[in-house]
Amino acid sequence: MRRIAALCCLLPLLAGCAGSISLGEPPSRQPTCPAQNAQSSDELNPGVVLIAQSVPSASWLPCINPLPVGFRYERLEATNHGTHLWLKSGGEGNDQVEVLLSQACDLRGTQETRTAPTGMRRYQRVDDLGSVYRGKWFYVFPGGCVIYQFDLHGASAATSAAAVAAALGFVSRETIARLVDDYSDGRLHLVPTSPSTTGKHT
Amino acid sequence: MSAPLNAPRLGDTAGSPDVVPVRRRRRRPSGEPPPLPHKINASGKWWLILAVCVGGISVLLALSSRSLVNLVVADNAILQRIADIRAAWLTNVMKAIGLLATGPAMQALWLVNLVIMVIWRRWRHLLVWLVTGLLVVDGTEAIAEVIQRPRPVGIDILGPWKGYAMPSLPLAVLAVFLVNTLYAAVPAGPPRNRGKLAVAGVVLFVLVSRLYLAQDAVTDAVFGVVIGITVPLVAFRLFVPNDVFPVTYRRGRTAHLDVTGRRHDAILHALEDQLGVIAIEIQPFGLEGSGGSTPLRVKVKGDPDYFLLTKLYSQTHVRSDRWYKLGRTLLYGRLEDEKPFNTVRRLVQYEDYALRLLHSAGLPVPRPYGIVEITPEREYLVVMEFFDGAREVGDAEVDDAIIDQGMLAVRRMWEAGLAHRDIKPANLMVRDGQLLVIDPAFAQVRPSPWRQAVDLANMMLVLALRTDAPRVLARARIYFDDGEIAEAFAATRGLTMPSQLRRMLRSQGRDLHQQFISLLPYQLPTVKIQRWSMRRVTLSIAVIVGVVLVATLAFPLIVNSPL
Repeated sequence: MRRIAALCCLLPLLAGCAGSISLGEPPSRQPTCPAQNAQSSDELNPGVVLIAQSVPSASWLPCINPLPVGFRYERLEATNHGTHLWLKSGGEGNDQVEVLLSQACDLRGTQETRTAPTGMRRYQRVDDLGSVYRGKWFYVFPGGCVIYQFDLHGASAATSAAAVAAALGFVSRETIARLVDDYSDGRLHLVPTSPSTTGKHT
Repeated sequence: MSAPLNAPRLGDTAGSPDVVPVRRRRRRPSGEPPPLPHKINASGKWWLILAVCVGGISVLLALSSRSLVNLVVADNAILQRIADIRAAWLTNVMKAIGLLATGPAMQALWLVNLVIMVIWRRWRHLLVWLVTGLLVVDGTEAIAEVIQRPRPVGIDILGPWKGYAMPSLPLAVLAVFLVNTLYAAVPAGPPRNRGKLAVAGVVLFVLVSRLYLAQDAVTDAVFGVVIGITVPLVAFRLFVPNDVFPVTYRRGRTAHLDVTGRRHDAILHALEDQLGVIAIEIQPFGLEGSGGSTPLRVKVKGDPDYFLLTKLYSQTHVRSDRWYKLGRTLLYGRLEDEKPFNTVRRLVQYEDYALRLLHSAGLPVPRPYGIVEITPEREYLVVMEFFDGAREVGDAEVDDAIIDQGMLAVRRMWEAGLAHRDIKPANLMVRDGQLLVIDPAFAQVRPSPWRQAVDLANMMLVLALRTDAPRVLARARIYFDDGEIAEAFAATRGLTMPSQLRRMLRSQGRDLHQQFISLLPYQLPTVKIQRWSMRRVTLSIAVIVGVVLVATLAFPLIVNSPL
């Protein structure tokens, strides 16, 4: 019995050698968008602060509003080069939406669209249509760029893409800086790195 | 066929002294530590306490965002002061130091360790290395995800970073890799003490570098270091204690325990308390012939002084026994009872019992003097008579009287329903014209007829090494009939002979086995030693699957870096 118990403990550890598993999924909070004109210090989400730190020049930061039914926030990976967010569908298949924030984007082969939030320009490149929706939506703004990368399956894949995109949002760096200030009673400041005037389009 | 009535009597090992207690045996009162307590060192305790504090603070920070803010403010004040002294040249120096805690550096360190551990066959160290590395990496990442502390705010971060800040993953990984290296590759004593200073220096330099570059705040860095040091330190001291698994670069069997220092004193103390004898010298004895225990010759104060043979057993020997028996099950199947012992206590109890059984059956084995406890459930001594002045049969004069005693010993075992199971030159000694049998650790009660037959053939082969087959066969016929001898040689071949015996037969260039068979008036069909059973099939499949699984899973760990 002891050996079986030891084996049960050892196998997950060995499986961890593959580099992907951890000791259970930690309860991770998603980087939620603060409410419009947020005043409360409770609105400050550490994930959004980390995103702001990953691209100090970005004037806008991606965040997540309540997601459409069937989709869930998976994880966030932020480095000093940018941020990567993963959303997954709870249903069948490998439906996945990735959100990438970086200082610049490669816009070759994209088409500009008319619908873009204020202060941004939006481009898109849809690679596949039909029962599979694979496409990239680019949001370019001063000091940074955000990409929504869709890999959705099923007849309503395009509709799902639109619904997820609607749930994704942006928060300005100024808002986050103000919330950091409020949250720490003025003792902490998010360094306002001067953003470059435009995103680097290569 | 029974032994002749006028056969020499066995079992009286002439000239062997009885153990005479010179001190009153002392019962260890409840609460008093055993001779060699199983414990981690004081530094390990302090690190453990620190780690518990880190865990407690982490929980507090995860539950109270206000506490986290206060901590960030305090940390930022320190970082701000450090940032005030930034200079271009110093930044370059700090960036260079910071390279020590990056993926390529960690990967190189791991691969060097891996090579060392594989070459020196430190499998247990390797397992602890892997498990502690995984625990620290996954544990640190999990804690960081729970606390969700951003990188230092308000200060320019000058170096690369990844993920949430607390605890610092690069420092935790650096610390765990360095401490693992220290305990898996550096011998204990002065080299390891110097290594500890070096590790402390490296970790401190990298910590300062990361604070200077504002990659981590002070508490992030400290938390990472505490986790990275505590986990491997405690794991190595608990699971790979140096006195049981010493790191050495000498060739030799790893099963042998170091009997200097604390263990030496513990053995003296235990012998005095539990046997009432005063040991004045402990020497490893016949290590090359023993892989399953650490045999020691103990000089005991007396009038005159005399020797005892003690065999030190620990958990490592139980594991060796387990692997040995698993190997035999895979190779042969279920010819014999290959159930492993599951505790050291049971292993030593069995050996002591077997010794007493053989002794009471009139066999010329050492007198048993009992079991001495060194560390409860971890280390014990089996104490027995030492055959002072005896020589291995391979080096001794073997005459007809010795051959007769060998044959009679096997006959006695048959009659008593016993088998020695390890008849080889190293286990047969000669002293003053008397054949002595030692090491009954594998002895079996009511063995299979096959096993008894193997004992006879091995005894004949060993005795023929110093004489010749016709002479041994002629003496054997006094005690056994031709059918029994033919059965013995039909049962014995290849792996059923101890490896030392096979080696000596090869080195002499004589096919003694074939000579015996050709001298016999008739032959019996060879007894098959391969037995297939569901257990053997299942075990074989499980082992193959296990090896493939471990190889598959270990490969990414070898080629990837946690940073």
